[in-house]
Amino acid sequence: MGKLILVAEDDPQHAELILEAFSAAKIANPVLVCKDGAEAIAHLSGEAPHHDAGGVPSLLLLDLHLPRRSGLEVLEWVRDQPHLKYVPVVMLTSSREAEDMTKAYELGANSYLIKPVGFDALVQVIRTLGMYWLVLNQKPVSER
Amino acid sequence: MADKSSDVFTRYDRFFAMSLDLLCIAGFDGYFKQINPSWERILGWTSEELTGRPFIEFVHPDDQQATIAEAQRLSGGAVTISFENRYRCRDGSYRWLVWTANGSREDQLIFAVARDVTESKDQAQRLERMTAEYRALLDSAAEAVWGVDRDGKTLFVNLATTELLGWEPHELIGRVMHDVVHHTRPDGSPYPSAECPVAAVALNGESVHIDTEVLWRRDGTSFPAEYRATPFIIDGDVVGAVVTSTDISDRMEAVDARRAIEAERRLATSYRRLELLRDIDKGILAAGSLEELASTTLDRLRRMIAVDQCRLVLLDLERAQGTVFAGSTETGETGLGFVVEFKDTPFEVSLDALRKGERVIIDLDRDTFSDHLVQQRARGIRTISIVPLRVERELVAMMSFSRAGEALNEEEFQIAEEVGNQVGIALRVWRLRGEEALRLELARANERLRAADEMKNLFLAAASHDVRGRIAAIVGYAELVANADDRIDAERTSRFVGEILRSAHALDGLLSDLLNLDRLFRGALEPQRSREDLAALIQRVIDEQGITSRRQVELHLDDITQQVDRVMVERSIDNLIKNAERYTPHSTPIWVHARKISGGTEIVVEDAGPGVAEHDRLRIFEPFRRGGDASQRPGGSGVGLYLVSRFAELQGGRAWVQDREGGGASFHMTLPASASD
Repeated sequence: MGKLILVAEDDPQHAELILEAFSAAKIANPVLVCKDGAEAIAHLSGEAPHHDAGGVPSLLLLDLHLPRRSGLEVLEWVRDQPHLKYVPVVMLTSSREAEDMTKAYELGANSYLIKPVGFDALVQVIRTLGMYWLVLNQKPVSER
Repeated sequence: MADKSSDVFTRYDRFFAMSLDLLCIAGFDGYFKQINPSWERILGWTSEELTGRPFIEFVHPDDQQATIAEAQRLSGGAVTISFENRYRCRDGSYRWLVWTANGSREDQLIFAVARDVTESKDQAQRLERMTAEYRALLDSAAEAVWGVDRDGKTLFVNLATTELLGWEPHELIGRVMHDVVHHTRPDGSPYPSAECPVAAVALNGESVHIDTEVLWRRDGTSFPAEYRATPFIIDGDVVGAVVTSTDISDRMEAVDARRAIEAERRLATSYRRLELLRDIDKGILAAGSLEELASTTLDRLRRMIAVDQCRLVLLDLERAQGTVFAGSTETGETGLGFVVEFKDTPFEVSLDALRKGERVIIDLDRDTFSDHLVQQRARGIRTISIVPLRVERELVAMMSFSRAGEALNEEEFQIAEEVGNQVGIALRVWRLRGEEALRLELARANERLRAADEMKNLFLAAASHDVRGRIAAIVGYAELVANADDRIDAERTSRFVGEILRSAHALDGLLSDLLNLDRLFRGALEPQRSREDLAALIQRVIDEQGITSRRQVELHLDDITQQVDRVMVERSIDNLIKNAERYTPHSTPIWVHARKISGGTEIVVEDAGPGVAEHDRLRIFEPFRRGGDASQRPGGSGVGLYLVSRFAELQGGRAWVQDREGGGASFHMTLPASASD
């Protein structure tokens, strides 16, 4: 069993579909869904009640429009944390705004994906994500 | 001889009896031996009473001592001339008597004549007292008072005269007062006594009051004085003049200072006005359009009158509309010439007064009769001062000045009105050129279109995000169900279908909001009332949202059936709950109340989130506005709360937000019952 994947997604239906997609893509890592940015930060800083999530996750999936703290704010915060700065962060959003995209890369996002319409397409995206970030991609030495 | 002597005796007797003076013969033993009838007449005692007792008993106790001594002198052979004492009358009063007497040792008798001098004695005493009183009165006066005779010679002076002028009374009395204290005019030229107003008073008896001359002190200095001279009349004849005088240097200085300030102010004001008017005239001449005219005018006005917001509003009374030109973009009012309805604005209530050409002052601490004013007040505006612009007595425009402080003062109002006149003239010129009206109408239409377009774009951008999200969910779940593999059992399938339905309902709601917004902007939305069970309606909305699987929701729903627009109420509740969900941590509960209040129903949606900041409480009900810090704003099209408040208003109620007791926000919506309920 691999390390935790953290998903920040406020739309409960989208969150459920993402979880289903992970399951369908046969990615065995535990997946934790946070319903807003503040909750995501709480988990990552180890303040959350789910003690097991306190460690460094293997992947962070962030929606842009999140209540309380936006996806970009979470991203900025993550990059400021010494123990989190190398965690792969993938933006998964429906916004095609150039401004959002640029901002995300400027703040250090590793990837920017548009939420696909349809479950099969979503499974495809998740499978590719897992293959790339959890298997193929070589992490910095200190993170292994 | 006997006859002769008897005749003589009788003659003496008669003289004694008929004398008006008091005649008496008294013995050394202290008793009257003989008295004439005058005693009885003057003192009221009978001669028996007077002779029956020692005469000393009739003398005033204070005078007895002296009387005894005088009597002893007489008995020693002396003569008395002008001895005065008081005798008691029968009625208890006393009469002053003055005595002439002669004592005869050989006869042991005193021969005396007394005269009653009571009257003159009293008069002299009164005179003495009166003189002393007048003297005291004169000396107690703060003003210098002196009297002069017809030649101008000083008759008397009081103490204050010495204090004021430095001259002692004996240095003044008998001298011509004018020559001593009034000899030179304020400009230094000689002042002949013949020209002195006081001399005229002493001659013709008419009073004068002068406060433009100076009086001279003993030390050679002078001071501005005010004096009154009144005729000095004795027994109907003018014998001179009485002058009262004070030093008015202090008063003169105060008047001078005030005059100087006043003059300076007038000068500054008129200069400023002149400058302003010239400036504005130039602006008017140079203005190529109404917008330019308005912006020049308002810009100049703002320099003259310190206000937070300054507007020129061209009125269209028929349509109850105004075209507003804001003076500056500082206030956040961008663009010139946007159209507003009078309804609920300060203009609506001011129109009657403005038509008459009167100024209007709205005090927001007192007059918060419309939402517009409440909003203004929330922005810190305390007063709105309005001046009318009339062309040929017809109200064509107005200028309003809003500020956080007092209303315009008189001077500011005058400036505003003068500028108003200029603008009025300009407007008349513009009006004469019909094309401008047409151009303005086009500009207005453009502005309306542009504003509507901008609103729609904003809404569409936000709504499309929400719509896409729901469609993505519908397609996602539908594919999941359609391609169900062995992981998806029947129970999960039915749950997924439920999610599809939920998203479809949400999508329906979004589209409904979109259409309603469009109808609202076009003014084409009328409530369609039907009798509804409100508890059931709320329950249905909550079920469709499926929120109870995500959040703790507490319902407190009274059993209420009322005429309402079903769709509007559904959309309102949906939006209120979604709003609560969006803006509060998911671990906190949401409360929904429906309760009967007098005259209808109140629906309340409460949360335990951060609450709504005071300054956001009105704003969040405006379209495309969202509360809180922009970076922490969750999704949403920004029309939900606007629709809630408009839907409430369309049904005769209202919507607002307040603090929840115990923390969080408490959104209220009232729905008045209609007559058929």
